[in-house]
Amino acid sequence: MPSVQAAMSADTLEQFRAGARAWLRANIPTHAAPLEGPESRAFVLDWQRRMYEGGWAGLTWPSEFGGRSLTVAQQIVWFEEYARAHAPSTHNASFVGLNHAGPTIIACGTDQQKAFHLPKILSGQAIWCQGFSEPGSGSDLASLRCKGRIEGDEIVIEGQKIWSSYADIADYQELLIRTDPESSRHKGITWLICPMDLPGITVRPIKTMAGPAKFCEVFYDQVRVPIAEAVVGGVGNGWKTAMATLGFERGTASLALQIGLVERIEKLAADCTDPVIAPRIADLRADAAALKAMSYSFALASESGTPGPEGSLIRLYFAELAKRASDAAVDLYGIGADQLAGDHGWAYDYLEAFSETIAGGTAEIQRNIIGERVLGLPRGKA
Amino acid sequence: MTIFRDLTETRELVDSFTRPAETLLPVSRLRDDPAGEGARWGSLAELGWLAIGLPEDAGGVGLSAVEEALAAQTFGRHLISTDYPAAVIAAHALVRRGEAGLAGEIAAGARRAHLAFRQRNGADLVAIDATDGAWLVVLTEQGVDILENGTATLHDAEHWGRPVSRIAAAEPMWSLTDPELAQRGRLLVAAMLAGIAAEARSRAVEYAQVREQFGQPIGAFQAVKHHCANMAIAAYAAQELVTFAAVSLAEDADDAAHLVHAALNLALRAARDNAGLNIQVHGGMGFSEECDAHLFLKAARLLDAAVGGIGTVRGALMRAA
Repeated sequence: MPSVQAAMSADTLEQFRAGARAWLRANIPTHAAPLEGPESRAFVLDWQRRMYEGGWAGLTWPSEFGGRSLTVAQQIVWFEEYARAHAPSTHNASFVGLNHAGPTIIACGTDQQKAFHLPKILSGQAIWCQGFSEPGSGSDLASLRCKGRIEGDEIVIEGQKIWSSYADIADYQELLIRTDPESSRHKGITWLICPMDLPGITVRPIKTMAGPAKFCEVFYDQVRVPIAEAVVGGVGNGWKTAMATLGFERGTASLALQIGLVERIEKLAADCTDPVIAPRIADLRADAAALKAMSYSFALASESGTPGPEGSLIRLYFAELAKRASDAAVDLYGIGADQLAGDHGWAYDYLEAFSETIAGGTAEIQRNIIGERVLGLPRGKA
Repeated sequence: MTIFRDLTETRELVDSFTRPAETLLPVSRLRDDPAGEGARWGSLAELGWLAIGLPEDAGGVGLSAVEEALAAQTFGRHLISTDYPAAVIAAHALVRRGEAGLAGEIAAGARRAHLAFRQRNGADLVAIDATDGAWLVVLTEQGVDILENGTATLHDAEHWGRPVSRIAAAEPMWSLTDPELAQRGRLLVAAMLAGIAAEARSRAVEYAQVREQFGQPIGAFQAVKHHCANMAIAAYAAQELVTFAAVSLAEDADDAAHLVHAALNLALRAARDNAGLNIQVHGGMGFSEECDAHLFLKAARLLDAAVGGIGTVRGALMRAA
């Protein structure tokens, strides 16, 4: 089990906290973040650029790639202040670049890929989306069929992806395709960088049950990318490359979201005067404290080594807590209350939370993973 | 303010000095000898287990609430008698009253104490393992009451894994108002409950790996696997939060009360849920007395009662800043 790592003196951390708090107070956007379309793109890029110029982007990224090489403890303090200031949700169009594509390129990319892409991601010049799921490959990602035919020094992409958030406003996509037609499952897959403005790409937004059309279908008709520029981690090694990304997703990348949820549950507890709902909110408050304890301990432990399998427990815990919290919020405030209205109210959160136990592997798959990889239980007969 | 502390060495230290629990406190001992720890108590005291967090000048080991909570998780896994938290809390209270000599007697195992709580009708006291006339320790909202135990009558020796006695309400011999001590006592109980949740998980997983039905280990079936995953999540959350709260309490941080109440709330639920699921995963065997699964459920319910029940704990958490 991970343990809490010493980072630096408490005084230094508190000075850092004071700096973060002051900067956020002076720079936080005055308008609420748009949830979709070109306005969303402009807002996210502008906010990312401001954080970058203020020195608050890529805190734990290596300084050679434009980050600040700070500690995980400082990253946590930044996110605590970020949530406290009600800064724009990090679950926006910059999420994939900052938390999936960027870290994957840091881990597996070529020097040219790093030099070209990482500064753009950090400084708010490029939006990334993810192209993993397909209509026939959801929780069972390894069954993916989107094809990449190798022709000389190019790959020709043919097929379809789905649930690609912000693909309609993205500059690049992290794309998983099958480059070896004879292969099956985890072999013969390639992870590549696909510019979204190439000929042959069609993007069709899908409206979600929560309102915005941020999910997209993406169709590829003879889309050509150069192997040297596009492939990360080697042709045919895509599964391994993707797992590096998913490992990160289940570790420190979610800290901001976890801390944000804790903050929102604390607000529910403060607002709760209804004795009937109070016991539920009390349990949520305890669960929120546990989420914090687990995610801090896990993030700090992963600083000094590879994240352990506990990440899958924390991810599922977060997903189900987010659902229960928003469910209780609708009961507490009631439909028609101000707290439920608007793009960032609890009604949106309540509906959006239904995706938490589906996206990135359903809760059922997560429980299989915990049973098999964490607890060592046998796989069932197929 | 969030406190970040490296606990690697602390965990190693606590693991090393609590290791004798494997041989000294096998859960199977409770089949034949359900009351107290009997003659084992002297051995526990000799190992320093009753005095982990007591100051050295009171005969203690001089460690903090963190080591105390980590050790209590291990003792919880072994279903140590509730005499354990009673002794630790009484010794702390005595030190705070300036009675280091008496505290030392408790820590040395020479003077005994049992855990008690107010029955929900408010009239009587209920005591656990109180088979002799030793002191009774009652955790109150803001501290501790210490009572004499003259007139306890056995109420139920059948249902809770340990003898439960009733005593007509009496004035305490003395009371101590000390919110930090009240938190420390609750943290100790939370740690034992987290230990119960963890042990119930481990036993269920172990059984699911070896018990075969329909030609494969039952753990291969998703319905059973998902029970085990839920138990793993509950135990992990409880253990991490207990430790997080212990660090906060040891550092006297301003969120300590909030985190201790949260840890107790979570550990209460984790312990009863995991104990119940462990019985379920064991199937027919789990319902038999011969299988120890029921002991974890019963121990969890006694600790639950000792802190006033889940409703009280939820109320306290909602009032915490």
